[in-house]
Amino acid sequence: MLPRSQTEIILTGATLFLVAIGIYMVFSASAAIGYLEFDGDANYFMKKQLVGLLLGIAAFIVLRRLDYHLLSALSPYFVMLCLALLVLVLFIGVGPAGYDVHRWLKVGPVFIQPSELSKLVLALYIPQVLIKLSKREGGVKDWRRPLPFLLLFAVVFVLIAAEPDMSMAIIIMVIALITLFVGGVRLTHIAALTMASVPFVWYMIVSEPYRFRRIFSFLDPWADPAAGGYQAVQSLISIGSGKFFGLGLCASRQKLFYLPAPHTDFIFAVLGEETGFWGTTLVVTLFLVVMIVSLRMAVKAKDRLGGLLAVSLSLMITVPALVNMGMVVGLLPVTGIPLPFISYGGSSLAVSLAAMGVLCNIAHQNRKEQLRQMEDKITPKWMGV
Amino acid sequence: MERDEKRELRRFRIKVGFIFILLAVSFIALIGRTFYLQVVRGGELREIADKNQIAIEDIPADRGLILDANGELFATTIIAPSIYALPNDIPDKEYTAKQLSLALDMDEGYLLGRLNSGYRFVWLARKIEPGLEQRVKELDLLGIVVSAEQARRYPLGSLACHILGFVDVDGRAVGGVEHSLDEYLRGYPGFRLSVHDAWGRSVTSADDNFIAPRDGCTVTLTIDQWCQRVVESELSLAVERYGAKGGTVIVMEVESGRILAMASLPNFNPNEYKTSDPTSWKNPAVNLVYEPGSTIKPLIVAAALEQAKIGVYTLINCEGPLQVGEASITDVLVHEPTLSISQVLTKSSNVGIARIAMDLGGGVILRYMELMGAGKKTGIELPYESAGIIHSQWMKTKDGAAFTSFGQGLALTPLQLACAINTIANGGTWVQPTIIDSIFDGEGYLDLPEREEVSVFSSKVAGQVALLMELVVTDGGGKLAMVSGYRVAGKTGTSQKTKEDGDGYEKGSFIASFVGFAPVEDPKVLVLVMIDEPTNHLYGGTVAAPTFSRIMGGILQYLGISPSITKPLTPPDPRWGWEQEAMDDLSQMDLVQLIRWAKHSGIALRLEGEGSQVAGFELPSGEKYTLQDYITVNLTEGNVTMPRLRGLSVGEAYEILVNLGLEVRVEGCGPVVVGQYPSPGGKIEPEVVLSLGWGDTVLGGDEQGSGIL
Repeated sequence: MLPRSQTEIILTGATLFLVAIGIYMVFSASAAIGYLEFDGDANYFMKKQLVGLLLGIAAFIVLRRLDYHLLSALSPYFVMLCLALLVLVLFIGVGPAGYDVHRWLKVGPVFIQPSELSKLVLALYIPQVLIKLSKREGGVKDWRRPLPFLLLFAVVFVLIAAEPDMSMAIIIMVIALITLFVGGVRLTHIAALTMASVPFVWYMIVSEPYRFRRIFSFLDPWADPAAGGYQAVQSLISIGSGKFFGLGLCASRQKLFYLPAPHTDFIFAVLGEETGFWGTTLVVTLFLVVMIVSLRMAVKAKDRLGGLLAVSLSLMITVPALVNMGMVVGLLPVTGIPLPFISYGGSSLAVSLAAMGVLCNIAHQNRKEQLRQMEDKITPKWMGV
Repeated sequence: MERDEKRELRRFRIKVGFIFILLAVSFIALIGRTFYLQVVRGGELREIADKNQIAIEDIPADRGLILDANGELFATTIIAPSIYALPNDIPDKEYTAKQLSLALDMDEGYLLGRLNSGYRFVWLARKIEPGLEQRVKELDLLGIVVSAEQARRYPLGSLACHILGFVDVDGRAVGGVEHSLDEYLRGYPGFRLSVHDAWGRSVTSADDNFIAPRDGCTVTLTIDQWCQRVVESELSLAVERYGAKGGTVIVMEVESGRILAMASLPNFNPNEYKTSDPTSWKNPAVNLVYEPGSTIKPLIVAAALEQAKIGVYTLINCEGPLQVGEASITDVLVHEPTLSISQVLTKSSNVGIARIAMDLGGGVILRYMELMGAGKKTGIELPYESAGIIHSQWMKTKDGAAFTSFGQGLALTPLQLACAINTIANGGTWVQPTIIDSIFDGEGYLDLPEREEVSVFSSKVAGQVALLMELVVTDGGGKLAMVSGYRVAGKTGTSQKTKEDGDGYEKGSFIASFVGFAPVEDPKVLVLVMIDEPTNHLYGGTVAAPTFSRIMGGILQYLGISPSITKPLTPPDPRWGWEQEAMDDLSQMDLVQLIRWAKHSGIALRLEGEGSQVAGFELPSGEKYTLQDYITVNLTEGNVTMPRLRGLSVGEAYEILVNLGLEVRVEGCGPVVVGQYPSPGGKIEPEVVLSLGWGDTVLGGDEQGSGIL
């Protein structure tokens, strides 16, 4: 048995911590809604979340010990599967009652969110593509090389945007572009790509007045607290009224239908209200730790694939976390991005746990490699011959 | 190749470092922002949250009870239904108005007008009789809501209305003890802090953040229900008999200044104050000012005796007319030119008393008047008390002294006059009158302010004047005030009413009064009777004295004061005044009224047949009735049955009857119902009379019989 990687221990610890906080928060924030909307079942949402948790833990345990090279090699198939699901969801997907929205696939009692899945799949696939391209002539610097893949990303983007789930589409694109940038694609190409998507994004924003209002009311939510700024204002009231020590566990009052989506998008506001400044700082710190540890691991990875994967997967966790928390504290416009591990949503939880599993595997393999090199140094070469 | 890879790795590391810094800065900004929101602005945001989420709900306190001296209920608070409408929720306003008007017996046009008033919330009927709301609930109309409000109820109807005052529909106390003791009766409302969700649903449990209301104090009055009842019925008989505009009676305990009864006419029913004439809400006993007239004479005599200007046996030259300034003073009765002090009072000689007063001097009279409270509120616990009118500069002059001596040129309230004469009855000491026996705040009795006492005359002088006043009753103009078995002292008075503008006198309008006390050897009770503008008799001695006599007689017996004289004096002829015309009104009376009337007038009734309704009656022949005459009343059976109320407390019985929509009158004193009219199983009458007592004994009535006798 090899001594365990310190990085892996830290990553596993932070994950467990975040998952525990998440389960409690889903219970607290959703109890009232569950009670009122699901025949007095205060645990309705938590029970569903536990299904996602079990799937996630299974994925975590498997991926921790499944070689990431293999996973990466299989990723094109995942992409195909994922594309199929994204197309399927447009036709048979379901959304919140009363809206023309198709985000989830209903499989028996379980709802699968293909856009969450595609976040993970792209995070696995992009590093593999980059490695493959860099081995060709001209590498990734040549703009013609990545073009087919970029077209693929664009398809994913459009499919998700068509659900519609603009926030998710943009987040996935941001993660993908940063990964491409780190992987060596020229900044000018990335900029050009971004520019090319601007008209589309602008059209999407203007086509739905609520998006436009939300984005611009965040600049001064108090100017219109009853309508456009309502969500942002309630979120600020919620997190602010937690003060330093919070109102106490389960004691949030804003979750009682003042806050929109208290158990999903605004769960961090409920956390802030119940646990105060120390609670929010704890959660922010846990994400910060995941970010620091995984990026440090990226630069020390035993191979390029491991490094790029570490970057893409850590971005997959930290970028949505920052966007969600930034939205709750009023630094960013109101969007529908869940907080990984903590927001209600089985797909999000399972996918985040899977990503942590892969990160652990990278750490595990790095440690093995490190030990092998140390052994090489200690043991004279001839002894091995 | 190796070099390329190293460069590649370096670039990769720089880029990751760049991303790291970007993300780290974001995280730090995030922590900074949460610090700003939660620590720097936390208090402010918490306040906004509290304002949104926490509601403060008032819980009204129960208004305190008002009890009589024996603990009987004068005023209580019940929960009464009120009906309001949310016009916006009403689909068909005309239909709704029609249904409601049928259920509540209200005008349909009025209701429709309310519904169309354009407001989002309108009261339709407030504090209606309990039980009535059931009909509205059964209609189940959209937008019509039945709520509960506190309502004040006065079980005894108009009894003691001026003393009690009332509480209006919005909870404001108007008049009487309700007003003057409002701060004690009102109590303090409680609060409930409740957290509610965004839709306004409360999410707090009932006991959370609950501050209980403190109910109002229970106020016990010095008023004795029984005395009050006697006084009111006597007063209304007298006012009716003499065609008077109104009248006032005050009964006071001599030594303590406690008011046992205080009644005035016209009166009102505080339960239905809305339909009564607001001018009847005034309490003339404390806010009517009038010239006391001759009733003031004993006080002038007392002052002169005190100052040793005269002695009891001094003879006074009473030859009139007496020229004072431009006016000449004359006497009403013809008499000898020289009178003794006692004769000055018994013959009520203005000339004689004016001579004494001018000898005494206006300044001295003013001082004595002021000592006895003229020009100053008595301080009784009733609102809107008047201080009376004295012109001190004028009173000091010779003219002033002369006119003041027979009660002109100064004005007193009936209560001020009663208190002034009470000084004589109480051995020369003026005592402040009071109407409050105790105030109980639920834990203990509150300390009441010390009653003021002023020593005015020596007890010797007071005793002498009391004997002189007894002569007014035995030998003078007050013979009709005699009370069988007791020695009574008193003084009649007839004053002309001053004009509204205060200049001169109203021609032909008089106030007849009689004020006196008994028993003379140890005065216990003082009674003042004042009849405002009697039309068929004028003088205090004929109008007010008979009423005084019956009230005084009843109360002395009720208080258990032993008779002074073993051999009764001849009582006044009981037959006076009952002319044939008055009897015509008998046909308007129901059985209860008949019984009561007969009791007061000393005429016997014979009840024929069984039942509770008067079918007719036979009057005896002859123009005047003698003591041997009786009226035969024929009774028939009613058909709706009455509940059995015997053994219940008056409060319980009252609630039952109010629920039946009946009016209640109470007879007798005591904590339980011992008799009722109509009797159990009898026909329901709009008015129910309850007889109260101390136990199972039925006082005067029985269950099988026809009512109370």
